[in-house]
Order: sequence, then structure tokens, then C-alpha cells
Amino acid sequence: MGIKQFLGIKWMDEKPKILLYDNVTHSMQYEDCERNYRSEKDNGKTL
Amino acid sequence: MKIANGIIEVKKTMEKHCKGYYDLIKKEIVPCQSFTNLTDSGYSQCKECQEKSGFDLCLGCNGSTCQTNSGKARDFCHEGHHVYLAYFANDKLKVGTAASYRRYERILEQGALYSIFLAQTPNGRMARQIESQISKLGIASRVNSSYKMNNFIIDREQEEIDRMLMQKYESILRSIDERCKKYFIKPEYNNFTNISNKVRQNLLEESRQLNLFGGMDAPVHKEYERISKPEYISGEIQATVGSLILLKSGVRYSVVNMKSLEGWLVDFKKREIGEKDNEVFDKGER
Ligand SMILES: [Zn+2]
Repeated sequence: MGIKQFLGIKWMDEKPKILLYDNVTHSMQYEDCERNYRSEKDNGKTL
Repeated sequence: MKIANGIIEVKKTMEKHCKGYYDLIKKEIVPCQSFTNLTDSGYSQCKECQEKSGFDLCLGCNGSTCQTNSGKARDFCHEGHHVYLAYFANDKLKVGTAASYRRYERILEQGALYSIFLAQTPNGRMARQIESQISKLGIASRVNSSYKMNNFIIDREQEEIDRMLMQKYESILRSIDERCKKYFIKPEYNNFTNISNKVRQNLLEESRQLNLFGGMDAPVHKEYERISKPEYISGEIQATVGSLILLKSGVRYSVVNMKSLEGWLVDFKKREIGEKDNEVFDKGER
């Protein structure tokens, strides 16, 4: 993904995102910052 | 098929630039227009962005005299606010304020997994006055990141924390003056037990031996490395609490303070686990 500026971890709609800024294309990029299973069955797993 | 995402690799470079500012009116992050180089500075925001945010003079405000000269900050302050009481691991309580429209994000960015909103005010100034009164009762208004890193695991159960917050709410209500009291609300309780559980699933080890009294010992905390100034990190993200991430690499855990990377240029890589080569991976749609 290359060199980007790290702007921080932002919480959006109660989900953490890694916010990166590309000064060449002047664009923002949001990356999920959590372990996400796409399988619905795994959601809401508790101890 | 199960697909988890979250293996990241972040390598800090030798360059830091201004991180821009949060536009209180547009409600979005604006990158720094001049991309000011701040590599040799202790700051992560340039003067221009600090002024543009309009918020710099509001830090430490106790609601007595307004210090700001920014119209934006004043407009923001005229929005409805909430005052919260948050619980941190090892029974540390913190009082704070949040603009009502982003109050859940506010407590999440603080890493407050259990909290109550105890007052609702028509503006930020009143909220700050209530906060200041509550902090005079001996409740912290700041919890620093080293406390949060050292106290990363919440041992108490949700019900206990709930009870503790409610008791504190009642004692605050008894001590606070009438002028503030009228803004108090029936406490709105928030828990992010799902996040706390992710931490516990990784960092608690259930005792498997019976103790002398025939019961089980309390779960043991696993060791984790504390990385307050990351240079290079890699691993699978297990949980995010505020700006701290819990990474797992092999059998080793680390808690990383991502806040200290703000503004730095980084080499960022992310890998999906179990991703099939020919499968289209649509992020963000769930
Ligand atoms: Zn700037």
C-alpha cells in the first residue's frame, strides 16, 4: 500500500478505523482496525 | 468460509507532517493544506491548523470565562452536550464532556468501555462547569495513555461496574450545587462489553487448578509488551480500545499506543487472513 501519512485511529459508527492520508493523490483512506469475521455465526461470540 | 482481516505491518519513516485538523462545522477531518514538516518538532499539528480547528483555547476550559476567539468553537459550544462518567480498569473513574451528537464516538476514542451519561446541557460551557465541579469531588478529568496501557484488562463484571457507576452518580448528585443539578438526567448506561471481551479472550488465562478452598483461582493476566512509541509493529489486531491496539504475533501480545504515530509517514501494509486468491473481497459491506 506504500507510504502514507498516519492520521490516527478514528471511531466511526462505533467501529475503529485507521485513517491514512496520501499526499500525492490528496486522498484519505480508511482501513478497518479490528478483527472482523465475515461469517455471521462468529459474531457476538462471548467467553 | 471464514475470513478475518487484521494482520497489519506498520513501519515508521523518519518524516512527520502536520496531521490537519477536525472541522467542527463540517464534522470531518481536513488534511493540512501546507503539509507542514514537523519531523523535528514535538507537535503533530501546525499553528495554522491549530488555529483553524478553533479549539486550541478550549483545552482546559472550566466553563467560567470563555477564552476562544474562534466563531467555529463558539458555534460548537452552543450545541447540546453531555457529561459522562467513565470506568477504566482497576476502578479508575473519569469525568468528561462530549458534544451530544458525537458522544458515543467520544467515549470510544477515549477507550472508555463502560460509562454513564449523567447530565445533558444546552451548551458546552455548562457541561464544563459540571465537569469541573465533579472533578473537585476527587474524580479524574484525565486518564493518560500509560495508565490505559498498564491497566488494559478489565477484571470486573459488567454488573459490578454498573453498580459502581450508579453509586458514584448518586453521591455526586448529593454533593453538586442546585444550579448544576437541574441538568442531571436519569443515567444512560453504555457498555462495550464486546470490546472488553475481546481483550479478555486474549489476555486472560483461566486457572485450571483447584485452590485450597476447592474453588478456582481468579484468571491470570497474560504478559503483554507495552509499546508507547512504535517504530515497527506487525501482527494480527485482536482488539482496539481508544487509540490502543492489541496485537498478536505468534504467541506474543503487545499493546501499542497508536496516538504517538499521528502525523508520521508510515509504510502501511495489511493482509487478510484466509483470503482466497480468486475471491473478490468486498471490504466495508456487512
Ligand atoms: Zn497544518
